[in-house]
Amino acid sequence: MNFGISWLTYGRLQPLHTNAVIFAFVGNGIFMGIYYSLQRLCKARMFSDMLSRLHFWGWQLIIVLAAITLPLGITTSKEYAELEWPIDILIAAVWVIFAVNMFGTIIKRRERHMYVAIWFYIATVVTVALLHIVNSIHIPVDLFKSYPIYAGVQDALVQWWYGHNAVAFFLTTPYLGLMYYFIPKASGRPVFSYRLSIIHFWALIFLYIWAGPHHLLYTSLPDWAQSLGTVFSIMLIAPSWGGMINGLLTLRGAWDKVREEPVLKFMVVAVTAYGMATFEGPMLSIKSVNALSHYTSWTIAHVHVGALGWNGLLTFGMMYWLIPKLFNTPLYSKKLANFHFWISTLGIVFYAVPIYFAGWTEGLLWKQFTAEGLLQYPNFLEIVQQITPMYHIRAFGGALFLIGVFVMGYNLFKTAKAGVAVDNEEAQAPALAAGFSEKFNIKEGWGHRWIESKPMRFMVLALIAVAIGGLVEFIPTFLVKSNIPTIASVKPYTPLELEGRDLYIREGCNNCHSQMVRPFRSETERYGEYSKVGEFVYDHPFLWGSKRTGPDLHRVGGKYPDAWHYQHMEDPTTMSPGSVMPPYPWLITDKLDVSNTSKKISVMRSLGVPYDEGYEVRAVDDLRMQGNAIAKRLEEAKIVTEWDSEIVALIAYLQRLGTDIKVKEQAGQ
Amino acid sequence: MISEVLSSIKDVAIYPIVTLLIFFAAFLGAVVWTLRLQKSEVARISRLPLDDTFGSDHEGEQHNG
Repeated sequence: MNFGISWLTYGRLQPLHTNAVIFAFVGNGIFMGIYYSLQRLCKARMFSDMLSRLHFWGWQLIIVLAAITLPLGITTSKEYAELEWPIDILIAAVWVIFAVNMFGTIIKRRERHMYVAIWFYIATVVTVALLHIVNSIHIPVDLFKSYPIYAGVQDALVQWWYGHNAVAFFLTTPYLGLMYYFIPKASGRPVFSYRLSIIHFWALIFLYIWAGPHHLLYTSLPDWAQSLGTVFSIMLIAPSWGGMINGLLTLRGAWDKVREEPVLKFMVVAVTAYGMATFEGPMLSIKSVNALSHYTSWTIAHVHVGALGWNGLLTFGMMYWLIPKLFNTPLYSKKLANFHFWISTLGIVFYAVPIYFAGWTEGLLWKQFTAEGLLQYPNFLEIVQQITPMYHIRAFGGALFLIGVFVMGYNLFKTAKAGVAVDNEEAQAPALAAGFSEKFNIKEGWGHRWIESKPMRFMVLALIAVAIGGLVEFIPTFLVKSNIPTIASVKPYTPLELEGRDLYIREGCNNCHSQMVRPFRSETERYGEYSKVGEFVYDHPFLWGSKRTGPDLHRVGGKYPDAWHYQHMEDPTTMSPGSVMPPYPWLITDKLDVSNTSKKISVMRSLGVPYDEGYEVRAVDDLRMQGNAIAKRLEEAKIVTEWDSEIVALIAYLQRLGTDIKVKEQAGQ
Repeated sequence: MISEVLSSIKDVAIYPIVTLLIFFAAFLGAVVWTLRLQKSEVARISRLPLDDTFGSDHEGEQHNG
């Protein structure tokens, strides 16, 4: 359903949703909590008010740009890194501003010890910068389009190293830091075990970075990398639960306060949700569990327990604690806050439970065989229809959660109105005696103190701890490149197919369709030959996808006639009654923009795709020729179209998908 | 394939073992240091979030002044 409007299509809005949750909601939550707690833990005012302002407005600008470009289909297709290169550069710049401001504050701090929350903040700043830069190395075609330098399996590995650690270092470590500040603050008790916090910090940041490949289990990623991902994911239970236990036990002996204080209620459920999600994550990383869960709604349920429960509720708890403080007045209504607590907790339950069932249903029915050994549900849509009612309950749960947010908005607005904003609060202690840190190193010797007394040294060590995991996984995979026996029949895309592929990316098809047939009988029966690593060597970017709302498309090439695709894109229900795919009428009416085709070929060649020297000059002619051939085939099916309509390019790409090895098979026979 | 690449590096097996040892040693170091922390120091630093005093009785002064 999109009312025929391109920018309302699910494929374009889904990335906007994930980006808004991660970078707008959680991002601003992180900054709010850090700006408050950092100054108080350092007993020093922020390094520069100017940088604080630049950071704030720069970040909001990025959010606005995301909200505009993603619905317009300006996207790289890489999950949580969809924004195109000019915005990527802006993100890097704003992040550096934040980092300078933060380190400046830590350096001029007036408390010699860096409290554990600050370690988590440092790890966050350093690692997010590293992840963002490495995953965003693209070669621009124009202002709105670029190709990643990595292809196929390498692109997949880098993307999920990034994607998984976006979860780790954007949704987890900063929030653990906030937990270590705000739970003691709200309960009036110090953290349960400071020693545990040190150990679980180092273990967590070292282990987390390795776990990315668990997003690629049973794909064409080399087996050893998959196993690394699994092993490190399972080990992650220990430090994750160390954090959860530390958070919850901070409240030992203060549970009576939890009964009365909505702030603490939110925080307790948040930390519990963190514990559940970080137990489930490792379980989902076990290959046999992942075989069932991957590409299904199970993953969606898992991430929402984390996002709504952990990030959402902890943010709400922080806000209920902070806003009254900032306006120097008690909370307008505790009753409403309690109502918010219950409705959001219920909302999460109503959201997650049906989606878990939907995920299990999908996973099981996809694999269900009859006694005769045939797929019991050969029609993918039949399974989609089975889970529709669960999607309705999920929407109800989401609505409950949203109602809670509005109630909070009202409550906090009333609070703010009743009070007066405290523009500046005393947060600066007198300067420490000069040279204190040197003196103290000599006195107290060689220990963790050596690390934590100097923030820059701390930063470098944290960087080393996180970089190792990435390097060990990347280097061999990248070395393999020259050694992979490139499947001889795998050829670069024709200019028309390349343009079609870019339309596939623009429409976000990869958000509902995978291009990765796993080596299971249930999948080879349904889709065809399983996907080989050598088939993706020219895929800048890779489009393996991570969710199958619709069927896999890797072997769709040649499966249906051109006319089928034409009609299916115009209105999917004509070809597949009951389909939930939205119609794409603009692909039929809009003309393909070929002004960049030559440039795209040149950029691809610079990335190592073997187009002949000078081919870019002939590219558009070839494109026209292939377009005319498709238009002619469509004409035979009584469909009138031009060689340069977008649909022709998309059909060219879809018909090419996964066919390269078929050529080889035929040639071999 | 991957084994071909790796086997072309001389004595490749030593690298992961060395890496493992280094990290395990570093981790053990952190654990040992943590356990040896003085109780009073742990008590002080774990109360940092709760310490909202910014006056002249600030402990940094006492320790270093």
